[in-house]
Amino acid sequence: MTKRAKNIFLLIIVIQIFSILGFSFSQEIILRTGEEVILETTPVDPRDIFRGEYVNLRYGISTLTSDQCCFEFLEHDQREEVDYGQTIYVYLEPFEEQWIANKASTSKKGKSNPAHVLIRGKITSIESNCPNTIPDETCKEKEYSIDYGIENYFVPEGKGQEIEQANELKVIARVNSRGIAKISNLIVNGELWK
Amino acid sequence: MADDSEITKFLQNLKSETDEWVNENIISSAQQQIILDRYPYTSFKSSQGKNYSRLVTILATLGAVATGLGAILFIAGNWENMPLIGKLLLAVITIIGTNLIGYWIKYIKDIPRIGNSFFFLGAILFGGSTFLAAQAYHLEANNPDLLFWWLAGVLPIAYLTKTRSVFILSIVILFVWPGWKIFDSDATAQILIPIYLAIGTSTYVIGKIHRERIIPHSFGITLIFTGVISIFASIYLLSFPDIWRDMWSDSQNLFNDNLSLLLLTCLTLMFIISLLLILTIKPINTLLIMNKKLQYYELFILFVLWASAFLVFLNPHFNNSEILFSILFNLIYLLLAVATVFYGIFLKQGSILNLGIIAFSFLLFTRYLDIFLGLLGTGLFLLSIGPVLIIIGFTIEKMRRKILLNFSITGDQSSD
Repeated sequence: MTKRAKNIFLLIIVIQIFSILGFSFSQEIILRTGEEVILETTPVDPRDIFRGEYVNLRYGISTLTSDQCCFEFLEHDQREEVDYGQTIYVYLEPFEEQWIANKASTSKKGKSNPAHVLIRGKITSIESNCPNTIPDETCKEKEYSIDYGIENYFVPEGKGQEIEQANELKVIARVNSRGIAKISNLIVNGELWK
Repeated sequence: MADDSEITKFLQNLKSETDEWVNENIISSAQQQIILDRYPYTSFKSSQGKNYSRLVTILATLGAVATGLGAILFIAGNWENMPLIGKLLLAVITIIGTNLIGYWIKYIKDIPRIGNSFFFLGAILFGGSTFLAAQAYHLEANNPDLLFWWLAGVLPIAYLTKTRSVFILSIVILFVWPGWKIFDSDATAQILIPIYLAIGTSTYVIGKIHRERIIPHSFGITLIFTGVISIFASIYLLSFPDIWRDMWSDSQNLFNDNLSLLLLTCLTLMFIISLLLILTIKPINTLLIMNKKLQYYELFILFVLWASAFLVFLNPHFNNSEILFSILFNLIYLLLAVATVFYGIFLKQGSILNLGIIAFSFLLFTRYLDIFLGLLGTGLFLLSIGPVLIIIGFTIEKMRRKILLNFSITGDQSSD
């Protein structure tokens, strides 16, 4: 190996290390500085794969209706058509010790109320809510499924059932200024989960 | 006659001397290979040691896989007992450690095969650590982008250390990633066929450049082999009318899918650049130098394959045309199989010849099943298929042996 190749080799190892540490650092920043929101959730289909056991989470804010989705700007009533896979920003507002979705926009501009939190999501499906007689293309009543990147929670082996069987489950998430959310902890039956 | 130790010494000197020449850009690596191949003793000695070397490589690679999986499972299994910082530190230390040990063993101690297994272990650990870090922060479990991250980290290591096992791992990731990504998106599943046809064609062309110019040449063989398998598999699927019907039932214009379009654009650029490079470099295979025509035929077939990928991507549809398209792709498959056989005969390479014959037999067997399974009852069909298979197998094997025997009389060029 030439000296140059040796240096590149060492550089790549350093990049590998920094990519892992950098990723962890960026996640820690969100967890430490992001705004805290509490979201009501239900566990769906706990799985056991090679990576360990995890719980799939479905939130109240995971489904939006045509009244909520979507507007060009959050504080304007100008409606906007959205498509599958599109990134949207959902306007969260506090309601009885948790946070619910008000409306969504394709732009994160327009948040003027400091009490509100914007969370970034991606449209994963669009379903028509109209009777069969109305074609999908003309139907105005639609239901949008949104993923926020906080749909998986990894747990130690054998603990998935414990979460699945909980009567009440909430997620404490941290959301940064760009709308990226991270799960910080769970509240299972009113208590912080350990 | 010089004794073994003298010849070995001469060959070692020749190898190190030509290595220097390559480093100083006096000769290319391809020319170095030609010089080394001039000495039959080289191949004699290498064939003597080849079996032991392979055993060492297999054992060392298996050891690396076992250790890598063990380390990842250990960290994953002790999830609860280990603080996050501990997990990350463990991952970082093992990645640095295995790569540095690999470097020391391969380049300082001069035991390349064992050193390579450490690089392979390092590559597995990097991938494992990436997934574990994602898991620590509850990132989506089915995330194909993590594969891309893994690939970006290990592919340069494969080239720098010339480690084939790491390269094969990279190619596996490279082939799985687009499939997973498309499957994860809204795109129709049938889009995978033209995408993999385009990937296969590009991989083949890039493999050819590797074979001619990039060290080690074995990377080229890996790319060519994976490319050919991907091409044959895609064309094979397109030879069924049902696939076309499924594609049309979705009534989706495949060009509407942004991800696939982006992939196809990147592959097209890669394909064109690689073709231009191929046309400008001189092949190392003397038989190919002698026959330029063969190279042009090869390029023509590559263009046909590329055009086929585009045709499928356009999703053409008119009444009852599924039979027409399936016939067209049966013909393309047949052309490809026959061309592979002739290419193998011309270059006197048994491996290419075998590949062509296997592909040809596969199509023959499939169409036989298609035609006769419906016509005859199941019992009668099974009764008839046995003798038919034996006759086909016997005929093809006889033909293959005859050609291979001809190779050994005239001198087999195959080195792979």
